[in-house]
Amino acid sequence: MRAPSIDRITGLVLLVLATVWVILVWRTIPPGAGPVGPRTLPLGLGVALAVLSAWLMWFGTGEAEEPAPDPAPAAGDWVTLRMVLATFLSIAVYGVLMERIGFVFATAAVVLALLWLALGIRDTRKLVGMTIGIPIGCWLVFGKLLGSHLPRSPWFSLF
Amino acid sequence: MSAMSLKSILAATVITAGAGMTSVVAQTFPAKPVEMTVLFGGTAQTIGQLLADLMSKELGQPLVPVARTGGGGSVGYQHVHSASADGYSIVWNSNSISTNYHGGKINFDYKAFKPIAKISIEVPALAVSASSGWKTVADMVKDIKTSGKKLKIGASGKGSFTHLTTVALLDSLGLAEQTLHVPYDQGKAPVELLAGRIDAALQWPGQFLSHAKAGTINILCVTSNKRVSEAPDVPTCDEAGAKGLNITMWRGLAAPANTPDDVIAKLEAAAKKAVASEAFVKASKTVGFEPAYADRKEFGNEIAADDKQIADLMKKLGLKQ
Amino acid sequence: MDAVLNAFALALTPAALLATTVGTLLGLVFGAVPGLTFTVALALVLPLTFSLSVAPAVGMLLGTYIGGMTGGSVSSILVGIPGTPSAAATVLDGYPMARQGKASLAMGTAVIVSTFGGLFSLVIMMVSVDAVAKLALKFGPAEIFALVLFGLSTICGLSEKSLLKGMIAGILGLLVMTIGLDDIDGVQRLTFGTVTLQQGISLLVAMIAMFAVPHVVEAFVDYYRGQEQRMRSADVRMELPRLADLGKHFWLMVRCSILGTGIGAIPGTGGPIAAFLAYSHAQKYSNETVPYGKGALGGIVAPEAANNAVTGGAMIPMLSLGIPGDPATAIILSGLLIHGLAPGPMLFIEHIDKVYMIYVAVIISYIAILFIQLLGIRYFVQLLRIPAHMLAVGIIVMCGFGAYSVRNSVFDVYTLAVLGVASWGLMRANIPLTPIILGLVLGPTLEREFRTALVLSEGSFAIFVSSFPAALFLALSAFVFIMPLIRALRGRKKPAAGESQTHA
Repeated sequence: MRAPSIDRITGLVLLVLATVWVILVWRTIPPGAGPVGPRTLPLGLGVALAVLSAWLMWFGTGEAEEPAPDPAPAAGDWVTLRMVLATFLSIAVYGVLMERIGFVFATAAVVLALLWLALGIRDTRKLVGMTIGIPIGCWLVFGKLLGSHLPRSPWFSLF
Repeated sequence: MSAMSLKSILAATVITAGAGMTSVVAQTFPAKPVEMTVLFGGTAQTIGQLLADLMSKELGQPLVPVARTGGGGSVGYQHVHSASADGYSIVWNSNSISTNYHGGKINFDYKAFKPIAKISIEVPALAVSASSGWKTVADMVKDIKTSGKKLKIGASGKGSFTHLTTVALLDSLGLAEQTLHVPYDQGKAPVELLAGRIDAALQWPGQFLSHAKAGTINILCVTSNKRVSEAPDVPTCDEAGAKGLNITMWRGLAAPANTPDDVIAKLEAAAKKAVASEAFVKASKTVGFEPAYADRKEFGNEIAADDKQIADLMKKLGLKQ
Repeated sequence: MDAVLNAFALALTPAALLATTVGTLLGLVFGAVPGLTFTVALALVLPLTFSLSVAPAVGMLLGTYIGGMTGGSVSSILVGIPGTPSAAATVLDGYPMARQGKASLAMGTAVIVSTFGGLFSLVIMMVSVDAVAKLALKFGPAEIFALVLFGLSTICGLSEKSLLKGMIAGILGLLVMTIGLDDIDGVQRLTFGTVTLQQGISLLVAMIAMFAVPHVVEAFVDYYRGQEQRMRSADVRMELPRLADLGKHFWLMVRCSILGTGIGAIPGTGGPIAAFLAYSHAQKYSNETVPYGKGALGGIVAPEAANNAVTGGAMIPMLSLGIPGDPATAIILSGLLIHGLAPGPMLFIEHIDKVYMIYVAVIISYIAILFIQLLGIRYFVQLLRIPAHMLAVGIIVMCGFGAYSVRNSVFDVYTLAVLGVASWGLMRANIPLTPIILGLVLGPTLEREFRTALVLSEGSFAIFVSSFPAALFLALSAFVFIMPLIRALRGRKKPAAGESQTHA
């Protein structure tokens, strides 16, 4: 047997996901009155996903095996994984900070963290310029010029 | 230790210190923009924005309407509920506080908020297509009862305010057994009526007025116990046979329960002036709502009474959780 | 005739012209920034119009709406992230064109075609508002369900290589949108008892996550490896479409404009469906040298003509029946109400001059768009000179803030992070993302109309075949779904020569 292809792994992951989904739907959503209720669609979709992903796992796509289109496969590609993690964390942390320290400071923190930690940039001019420039620029354009609502800190009203 | 000093530095540099010192806060209130959470789009948003505009002039600081529209209002209530009770976060609320609580969407009820002032009411209207030939509620009731068919009536989804109103109305008309509730998006009721897919619809009169004037839709009654100014010829449902029916959708302002009274008083005063202003009265005629100011005490009583009515209705329908 | 003159006099005052232009510009900016849409822009503009007189107020609102619809294409083309859901289909060929150094050509085409689509729908609206409104009345829940299902069937054309993966992707999109509060029965679905999850997944946020996050990751990786490619200045040159190029697509433009107007007129459907249907139509009847998905000009012409034609189409039920087709037109409706113009049949009898004024305002907005965008292109393309990793940092901030501002909710920012990583994973697994978008966009309408139809028919499925439009669209969707299956089964027995070559 050859090594599991990316399609097989995908099929397996999606099958697990679909199973969990169907169990959750069955246990938490009431069926409602009549033939079609709030549960019908989520349940049907979950089952369909399970069937299709099982098919993908067993038979593949039914076409020629993908000749690994990406030069570097995901496993062992630490740079890519690092950047995925950096992107995920930066957005999540941005969300945490927004309504705590306000839009301007949260943006500055996220920009600095991305440049310094994730990309390893040490050029002071670039670091300072972007860390100050992006938040202030956005604040001016969106908050002041366009009058959009920016998240604020409950503790202080600076910016 | 470091966290403490950071906090004190912040406190020194900022314009206002946090809540807690009631008298100091009240003297300077509002020292920064006040955030008003808006729970819905449509009419709620329009009135809310207008009110915020007018109240800002009275307060001397902007009152910023911020739309938090998820989950039928639950998300917005939750946001204000968990905000600090300093008067800087208030909610543009409505009966939805009761429907959401009794529907099991939020685990706190109207008592989690302190009323500021009642601002306006909107009164749902019952309308039918002109081609049905029904000119009065009695026509409709007679026809349905003799034909034995089901009345297909459109309102918003189950447990929503218009749905509950529909149930109450048809109950008192004796048609409860002979109805089929069709859930619709707010705006679509007139199309469905005109196309003949439903027999009747319960929605805000503003949607029907133009059609009524053009003679394609008949508005049969409004659910309040007083006629509404935008359609003075339309009888109340009470007059038309649904004895004792009085259901209106109120809107008002509220703040988290521990907000100091003097801060509430300042907001109340600003709201009173805004509602009485010419711009507000003029907009009420075109947008389709009735200005209905009530002070915080009266407002509080009304909310409590309304909550009981909604709880009873939902219990009867098996929707209460 | 008096009414027409009166309308021009009202709409052409300096105040009205200025307000319309400002609105258009504002709409463009909001449309162009991923996450900020014209719905948000309209909510911001509405209070401003309270103090204006009728003509400037209406002009400003319409300008914002129309500007926003056109602006969405700018970021679709330049950075591959649609500014609005309606512009999602424009990414498919617009972004590849920008990568080939033809960003200005793509943007120029988008603007001109958008203007054409918009004005075309306006003309249809002017001459046949009553007829179209009557036709729109025929579309009840069953008919809209069938139409949306047909829209969903375009997945087959957009699945790239594998129909199986395309269908998996579509289901994933539909699945995600069922989380949250179910409006029809007032039931919570998969909220785990939390209030936060009741708001469900925002379509806009999911869309930004899918388009933006994989791009950002890619840009970071390239930079870290020292493989970042700089755009040479020659690639950022100005090149506007030639008339001959547009002429070649003239009939496509007309067909897609008709399609857009028709779909816009049906309440509850809207821009994204029109754009995707137009795209798949163009793809099917393409005779271009450049394949679709690789930078074909028709891939921009079709969706852009269609989504702007939706604006005129959507105004038909709004003005003649008083029914807003989507949240954006609902805000415009409030704006009209505040100024005493209650839409509905009486508007055309009592205020016909105001109706004409609305038409004139639409024309002015499109003229403003044409000027602003064509002049602006040379500045927009400068964005491409910014090094990719720095642009990527900017995109993260933009998308984070954009996600927040959809509903002023931090939950949406977390959703962005989670769905972003998930879509990166799906891309890695060669699951096509476009069908997911279709599932996201169409899912809620599909389910709502399906269930409402069954309530109306008291559970009988006959309602879906008892009217002509419903039966027609159902048959069409069945045809589109089944054809590739038959082809695939046949191909399995004797592998066609052509098919195996596609992977070479």
